[in-house]
Amino acid sequence: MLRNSAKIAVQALSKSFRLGDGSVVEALREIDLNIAEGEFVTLIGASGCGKTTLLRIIGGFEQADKGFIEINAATNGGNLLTSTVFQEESVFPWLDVQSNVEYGLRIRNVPVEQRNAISSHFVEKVGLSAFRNAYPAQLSGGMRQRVSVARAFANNPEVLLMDEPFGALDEQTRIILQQELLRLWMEHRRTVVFVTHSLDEAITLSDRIVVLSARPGRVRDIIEVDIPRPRTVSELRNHPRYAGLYTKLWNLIEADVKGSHSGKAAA
Amino acid sequence: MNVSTLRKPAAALPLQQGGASEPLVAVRRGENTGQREWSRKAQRWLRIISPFILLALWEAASRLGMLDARFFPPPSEIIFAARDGILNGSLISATVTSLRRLALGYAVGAAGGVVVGLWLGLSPWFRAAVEPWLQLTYPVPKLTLFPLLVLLVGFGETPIVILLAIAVFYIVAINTTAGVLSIRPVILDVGRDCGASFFQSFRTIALPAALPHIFTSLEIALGIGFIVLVAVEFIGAKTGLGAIIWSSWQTFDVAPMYVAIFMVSLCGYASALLLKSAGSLMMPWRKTN
Repeated sequence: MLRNSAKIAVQALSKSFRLGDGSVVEALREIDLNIAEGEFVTLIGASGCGKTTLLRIIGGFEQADKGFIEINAATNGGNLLTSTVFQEESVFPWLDVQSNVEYGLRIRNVPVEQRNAISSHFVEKVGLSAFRNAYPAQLSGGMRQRVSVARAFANNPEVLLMDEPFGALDEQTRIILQQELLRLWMEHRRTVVFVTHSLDEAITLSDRIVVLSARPGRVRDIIEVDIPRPRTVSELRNHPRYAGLYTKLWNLIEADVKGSHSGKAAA
Repeated sequence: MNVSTLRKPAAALPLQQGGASEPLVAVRRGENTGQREWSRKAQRWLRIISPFILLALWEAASRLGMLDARFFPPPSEIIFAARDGILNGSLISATVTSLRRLALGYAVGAAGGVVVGLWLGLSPWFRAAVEPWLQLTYPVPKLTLFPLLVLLVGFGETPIVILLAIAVFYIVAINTTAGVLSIRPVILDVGRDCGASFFQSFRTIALPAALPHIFTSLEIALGIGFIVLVAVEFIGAKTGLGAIIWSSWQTFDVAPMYVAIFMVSLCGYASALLLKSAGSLMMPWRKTN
């Protein structure tokens, strides 16, 4: 059935949006992309390049106009194909931390003991054991985002989708959460597609960085991050490969970023 | 803020700034003088005794002939009437009758309103099919339906209960829909992401997320419910608090009327309190902040 051996195969995917004033914005054009099993891939590009749209199509939230995505699913089934960590705050204010983490398990009728064991494990992994019975309103923004990460991992999906999950956090919290994500991912290895607009975050986390061009989004280049794991987030900038990768990425998106800023006035 | 409390002469120390000969004054702020706490206490007491002052004024005015005692009997006389009503059972039975009507109609209307409202909010198809006629019939004053209901089901308890249910239903349904529609899209995305079915989203996301809206609408509907109840009892019932109020003017015996009015207010107040505590019981996450 599958056309190649990749975990996720994006095939000639195009997507446009109709805006309120009737104009049409082409978000993605003819995207072809293969993502391997267990790979950590980051989508990066100027604002509005369609990276979130691509992620949402992979997550099943939106449909493409042309082309499609194939996910190489395990045949035993039962688990979710994908689970998403959203940029926006997405924990349920009416559930406490533990209930938020095990929400997906409850939806799939996982028996209570098993559900508790899994959610306790991931609540502990993100350092929220002391807050397992707290409501989101009692937590900081960083803690709430930890809950979202724990919920996605507890869902045990084949592919983890992360849409700028740390974008709204302050830098210090972001560094901590990046480190926790790397540790969690090393322990529970799976395919990750991660959207960010931070060059630093892309280098820090990924195996490969997919650089999308500005509207319409197309794959401009794919950069391998040849920095060995495990990585220490706070020290990665000192790695001899870091500066070179950073410059290379910036050169790839610089024109788009400048273009989107001058174009904003017109739009 | 009073300047004299900020600039206390005792706290003022002469200071010298490098070279300048003009003496400076240290202004002290943030010192607790106990004044705020005193006024908070006084306000609390005033809140408690204020209604008694009003009642005392009424009593005096009525007894001294400044108020026409035929229409505004002194409160003491009303209290006697209330005692009589309790002793001969007429007040209690009227209250029970009224509250039973309201509770039945309210429960049916609220339950229907929540279910239909959640469904309307969650399903664009259902919304397209049902919302137009809901909005068209919403402005109809529900009391105007009473004669029709009597024609349909005859006099008695049934038309009163149905009318109350209709009045409550509209308020709850429309506000519940608004509650579901105000849920941030990402919250519903989480449901989809976790594989929730329509019914699971209904129960585990739309219902809890809309609870604040639902409880607000339940409070409004309660107030409207009492209005509709009393109005219907004026004309459509021979029993109940509304019937007491309506019949007492015909006999020029106004004391029972005041008793019944007070009873309606008391029931309204008590049920609103009950609803509020039910709300905080069902929404424990809201009081934790």
